[in-house]
Amino acid sequence: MGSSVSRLLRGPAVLYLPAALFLLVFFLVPLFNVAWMSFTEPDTGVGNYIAFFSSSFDVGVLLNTFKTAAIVTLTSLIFAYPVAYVAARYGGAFGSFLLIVVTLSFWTSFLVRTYAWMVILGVKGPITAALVMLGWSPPPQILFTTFASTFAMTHLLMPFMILTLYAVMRRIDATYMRAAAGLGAKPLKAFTSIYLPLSLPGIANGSVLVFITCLGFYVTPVLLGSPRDKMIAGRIGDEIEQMLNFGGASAMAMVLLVATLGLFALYSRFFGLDKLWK
Amino acid sequence: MQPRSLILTDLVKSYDRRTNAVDHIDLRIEAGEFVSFLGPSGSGKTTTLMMIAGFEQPTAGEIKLDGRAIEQVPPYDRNIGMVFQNYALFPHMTVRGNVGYPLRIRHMAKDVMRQRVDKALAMVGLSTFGERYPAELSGGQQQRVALARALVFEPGLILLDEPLGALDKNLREHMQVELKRIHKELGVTMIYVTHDQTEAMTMSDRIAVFNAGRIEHLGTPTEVYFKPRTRFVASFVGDSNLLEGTAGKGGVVEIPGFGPVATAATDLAPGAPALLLMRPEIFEVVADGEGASVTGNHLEVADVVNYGDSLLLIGKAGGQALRVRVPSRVAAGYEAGGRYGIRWNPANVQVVGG
Amino acid sequence: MYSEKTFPIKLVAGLIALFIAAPMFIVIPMSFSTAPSLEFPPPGYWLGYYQRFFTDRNWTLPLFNSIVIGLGTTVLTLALAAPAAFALVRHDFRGKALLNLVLMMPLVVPHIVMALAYYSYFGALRLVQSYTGLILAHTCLSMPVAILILTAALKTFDRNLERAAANLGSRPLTTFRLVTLPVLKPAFLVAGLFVFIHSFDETVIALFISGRDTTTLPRQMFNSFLMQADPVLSAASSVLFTAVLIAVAVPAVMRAMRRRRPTPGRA
Ligand SMILES: Nc1ncnc2c1ncn2[C@@H]1O[C@H](COP(=O)(O)OP(=O)(O)OP(=O)(O)O)[C@@H](O)[C@H]1O
Ligand SMILES: [Mg+2]
Repeated sequence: MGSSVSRLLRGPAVLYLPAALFLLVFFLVPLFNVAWMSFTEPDTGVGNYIAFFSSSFDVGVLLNTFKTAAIVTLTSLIFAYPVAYVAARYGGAFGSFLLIVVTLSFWTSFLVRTYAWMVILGVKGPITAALVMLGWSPPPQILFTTFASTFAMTHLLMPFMILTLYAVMRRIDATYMRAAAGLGAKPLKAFTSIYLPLSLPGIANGSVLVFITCLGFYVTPVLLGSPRDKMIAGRIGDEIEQMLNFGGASAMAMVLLVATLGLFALYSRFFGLDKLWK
Repeated sequence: MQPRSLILTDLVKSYDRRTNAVDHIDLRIEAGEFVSFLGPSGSGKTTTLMMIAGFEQPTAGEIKLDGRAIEQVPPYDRNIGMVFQNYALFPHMTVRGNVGYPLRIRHMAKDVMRQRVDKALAMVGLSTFGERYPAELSGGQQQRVALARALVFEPGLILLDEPLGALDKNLREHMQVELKRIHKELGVTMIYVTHDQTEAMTMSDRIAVFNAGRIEHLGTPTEVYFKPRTRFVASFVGDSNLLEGTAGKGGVVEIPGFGPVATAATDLAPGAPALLLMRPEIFEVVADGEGASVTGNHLEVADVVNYGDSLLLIGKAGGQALRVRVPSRVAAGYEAGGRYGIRWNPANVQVVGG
Repeated sequence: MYSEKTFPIKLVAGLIALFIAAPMFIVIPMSFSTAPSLEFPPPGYWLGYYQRFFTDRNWTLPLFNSIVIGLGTTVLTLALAAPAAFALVRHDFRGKALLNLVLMMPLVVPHIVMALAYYSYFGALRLVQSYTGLILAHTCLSMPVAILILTAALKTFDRNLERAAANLGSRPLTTFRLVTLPVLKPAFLVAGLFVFIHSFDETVIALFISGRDTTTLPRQMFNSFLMQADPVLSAASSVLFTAVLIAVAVPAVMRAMRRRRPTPGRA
């Protein structure tokens, strides 16, 4: 015993054990406790899950969450791609400018940016004012709609998508495109046959990460979204704060967690977990 | 500084316990010598150096520095200078910081330290660069800082792992001369790893030719070039023609197709196989009809390569592939497809391993 | 010759970048607005909301709390992550893949799930509404970021530098202090900065487990959102944005200056 401890202390264990134990006690155990509560609060069994999946409201929330995540992912991809492409392909001062704007936005708190949209889309905001000026009266309600929260989430996650795309595109050799042109391919053809396929890993990385982030999004849907079209994170929050229903909240949290981890596991099966950040 | 001697006895290093990266090396280096390790990539030169410096533990064998076994001495107590292939300059320290580092570790007085750093920098010609950071220096300057840093604590033995590998040809030749000058001035023992044979030839007192973890030949540049021990050494060092034949009487070797070739060897057992080394430059090309081609050998030239100062004629003679090097002459007019008589002095023919 | 019209696509990219930057063009003018509620364009300008942000205890306390929690998280995260990063990059051991997985997991677990987890777990441990609880939670969530940055830096660290130091006579600890640590210093600074921002911005968990005396700035902002009209929010947002601007800009400027530093030899 004594000797095995001292051997342990001379190896790498002494370096990684503190972090490992810390995460065990303050991350894995609390997480496991959620799983435990989902089967034991208030009664032992799968009652919480049955209640969740038999409530048409909750299933609707779950479906709405996936739908919103899909819309946000797709939209932000469409808008992010040209920015990342220009920054990676043409670089220069303009490329740096794009990257600086994106990086600044990336590091600005979600809350701050959500607040900005609250102002812009609000009743006294510029959009409403413009619509009124165009003769739209009474002006439509924009804030507190599914549109507002989806729109804001797209904006919030776009910098993230751009930076992920850029990380891959930066390494695409410009000579490929020149070679394709040299072989007679028109620019659009060269793009679809060379660049787009080469940037696919970036598209996959960005889409999966944005989708996963979106599934668990809490702040923005709660603040800007419609109380009728909830997303699952907001629903879990209600369940804790208003109902003090820990069992039910835990079951929903487990559904969200399994969906997230499942997607991620599937993804890293195909692309490799560690390739994500390099 | 006091030059140090080094003895490697039956040294073995295996990384994977199956193959030996260094395979039973014996080597004795005298104090003050300049010895090159020459060999192809992966032949174990760096590994040997790492064991001497103490960064790798030998699997077996002994390393003696000034007669004292040092396998158990940690690298920081060995007092051996080393110049790394990538220089390994500390990027966060100035040139002075780098060169002063070993003195600072040894808690030397500030003024002594300053003096010695100045001296080392002057020696490598960088006196005015003390306040720069490594990133602000050219490759050649970085290399010299690394050298100054290895010299400044007067280690007595300095290991250099392909120190000029990253430099362009001119700078390389300049640094070769500088290195030799410093070696002479300080009288330290130097071990110099390279896979550039010219570098090894021009700089070394002795060359150790490495192949697959072994030293195939240890000798002066002249010995290694003119009396190579093995076929590998003969072909690795310099340009060569290697001809296989059978020994006859009186040092004559019969080469199939080519005919009998006289050699200076005296100890060839008749009937035994023999390998002849004929360097391309020992041949002379003679005009037919001059009758000077004593052996009657002719070279059928397939290709002529112009090196500027010499021509390399590549072709066949008596069915044997042969490379012949002749000085460039405006009027020579050798061309592919030609057939020329060749002759050579038997004293220049070597029996490999003889 | 190969040529391609780049203007249209650059225009599109520029417009999208403008869209990304747009919110800040709103928030910053708003923070100087005299309007008592969200109104744009502002009817007039003053500095009153900044004054409130920096003097009203409802805002100064959360700001202070967030800084304390951010600093605590940064120190604890680096203390745990740095040795782990060394183990991951420089050693092989059983369970390395598992360790890697666990270290990265906080990155993908939704914050609301962890909020629920901490709400009940820290409730039992009496750590709710305490600095300790928030620091522990934020440290878990920041671990992946710190590990990623530090392992990336360690992987590119030239081991020959340590060998050279040893060769020049320094013992392992001295080498670590004089060579390894200073060379890795930028990576530690970047990791520390990221961790701090991560903790400083974290909203969801703070919403559930901070409170009263430990309310963080994001929680305070979230709550004034719900109350709709507190215009100090715009001042708070502008301050946060400016902080990010400085954090992003200062290293870039410093790098540029370092490159231009005059380095004459002492002739
Ligand atoms: N750290 C290591 N782990 C495992 N094998 C190694 C290690 N270092 C070297 N080797 C192997 O040992 C053998 C000798 O390598 P070494 O670096 O000594 O060659 P070298 O002569 O210095 O070659 P080069 O001229 O390319 O530098 C090679 O086959 C190499 O792959
Ligand atoms: Mg080597």
